[in-house]
Amino acid sequence: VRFNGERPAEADGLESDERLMLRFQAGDVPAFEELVRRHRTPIFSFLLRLTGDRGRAEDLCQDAFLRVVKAAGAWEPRATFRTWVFAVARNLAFDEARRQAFRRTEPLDDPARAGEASEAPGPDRAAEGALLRPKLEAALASLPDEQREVFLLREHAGLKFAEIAEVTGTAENTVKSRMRYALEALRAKLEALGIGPDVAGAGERSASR
Amino acid sequence: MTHEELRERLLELAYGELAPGEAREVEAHAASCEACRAELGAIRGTRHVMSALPAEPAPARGERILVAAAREAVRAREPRRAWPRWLWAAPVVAASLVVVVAVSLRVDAPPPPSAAHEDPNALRGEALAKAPESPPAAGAEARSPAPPEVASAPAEPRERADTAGGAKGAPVAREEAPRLAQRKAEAEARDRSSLRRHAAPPEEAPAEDLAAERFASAPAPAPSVRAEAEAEAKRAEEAPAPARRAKALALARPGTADQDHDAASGAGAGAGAGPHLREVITPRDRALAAARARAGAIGFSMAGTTVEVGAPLTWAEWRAQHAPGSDAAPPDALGARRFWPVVFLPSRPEGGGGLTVFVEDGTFRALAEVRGK
Repeated sequence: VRFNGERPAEADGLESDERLMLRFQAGDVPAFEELVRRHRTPIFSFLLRLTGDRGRAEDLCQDAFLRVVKAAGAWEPRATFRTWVFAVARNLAFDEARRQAFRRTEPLDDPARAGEASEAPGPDRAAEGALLRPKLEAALASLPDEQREVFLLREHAGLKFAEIAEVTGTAENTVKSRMRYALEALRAKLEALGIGPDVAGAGERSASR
Repeated sequence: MTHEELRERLLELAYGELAPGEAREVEAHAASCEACRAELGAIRGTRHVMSALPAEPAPARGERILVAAAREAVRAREPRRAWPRWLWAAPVVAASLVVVVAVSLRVDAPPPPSAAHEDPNALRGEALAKAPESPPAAGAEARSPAPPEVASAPAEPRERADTAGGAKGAPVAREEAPRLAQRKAEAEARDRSSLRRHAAPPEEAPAEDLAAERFASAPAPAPSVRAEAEAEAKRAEEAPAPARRAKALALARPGTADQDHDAASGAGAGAGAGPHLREVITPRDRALAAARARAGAIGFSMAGTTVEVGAPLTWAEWRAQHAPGSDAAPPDALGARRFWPVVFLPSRPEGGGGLTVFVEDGTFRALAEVRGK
């Protein structure tokens, strides 16, 4: 749905993040609101699974967007907004982790943790989600930090490998290696949890962009 | 591509990051190669399963706070944008803060006819008299004529008396002299005493004192002066001498004494107000220059402008770097002394060729300004 003929719209009819950011730079607060609406959940989700701590993820997510507000004046559309804001969030998380030894509080397979993660299942998939989701969360949580980070940025943030390299400050080849290890480890873990690639229900939801 | 190279690309194929031609090639290989087919299947299978994991919705409570913060930030940006405009409306503040002599010349302008004495008031008067005739290229922004206080606010009666005869081009300044003489004298007395206090190192004191007297700007306490300007004047008077010296030296390179000597000798030998001298720099420009220089910022960037503070140079050194081949004479106020070039480079191409403000020393008095082409 296009808003009007003048506004350069992307394929899906929405104004690009970068244009919104430029508008916010010029003092347009609703443009910022739109950016928050688009990216807050992906960022929060990323931070939650990166840190395994809901309260911390919430704080970090707020911090990340406050940084966006603060840095808006000096922002230049060099990288995509999405890459930038994920980099901000990621660096905040790692800075904080460096301060207070990056450690998950619960054991990986702790059923309590898995249960907590499943408190908001999608409405149509509630039943199967109650069974499957905790296991998927557990499998993801079992990954080493740097692999989990790459996996989340690729699968959930939808960043390309080159962009992930930018966000994490590592070589693109390193990013791809970590992704291969992550996928391999996930497969082994899922198998151990009794979930094969043929698990029903996963089909209609595709994460590919 | 070899099997290994193709296998390397399976990950990118699975994530749709290969160019169409390459993707077809890798896909075709995977169809025929057992190992690659298995690996591609494993990647896609794992993705497929993991894709059942939805995003965790961010708690709603944070959103209002963010929007409020954004609104606050936008509001906070507004007054800062308005600040230069305010200065523009009250140039007396900017002038009393910053400048005694603000002249500009084109780098390629012919050398001025020489005259007996340099007189900041003469330059000043000339500048004001000429301002309306300034060509648009040099004038840049539309400027309102400065109130009379500007012309003589930074001046010193003693020097005016000394050099009034030589101030050929300064009818404006001379007419105003009597009216403002008394206030000037008070300001001068206060200013000079404070400057003396700051002339710390004994071996430098005479030269610095002389230079300071010539270029001291009187912080005339006009009723319209904003709190900021008052605070600034206060700071200038109250700042302990060592701190000010340290600031000055931080920007200096070895040879400060030489510079002061240059300043002293340049004081008597300067040429009069040449007809090519015009004031084209807005109070905003000067205030910005002084503010940035005071902060000692290097490589500062604001609102599309890069500001750089270079190492202290003589006019000849600066000219050799920035206008090679030119033999343009130094602005009169500059003489043979060293100065800090503060360069403003607009990042917008239509912004013109930039502006260089020559700052005397760590106390940041603008001596002269040159518009780029």
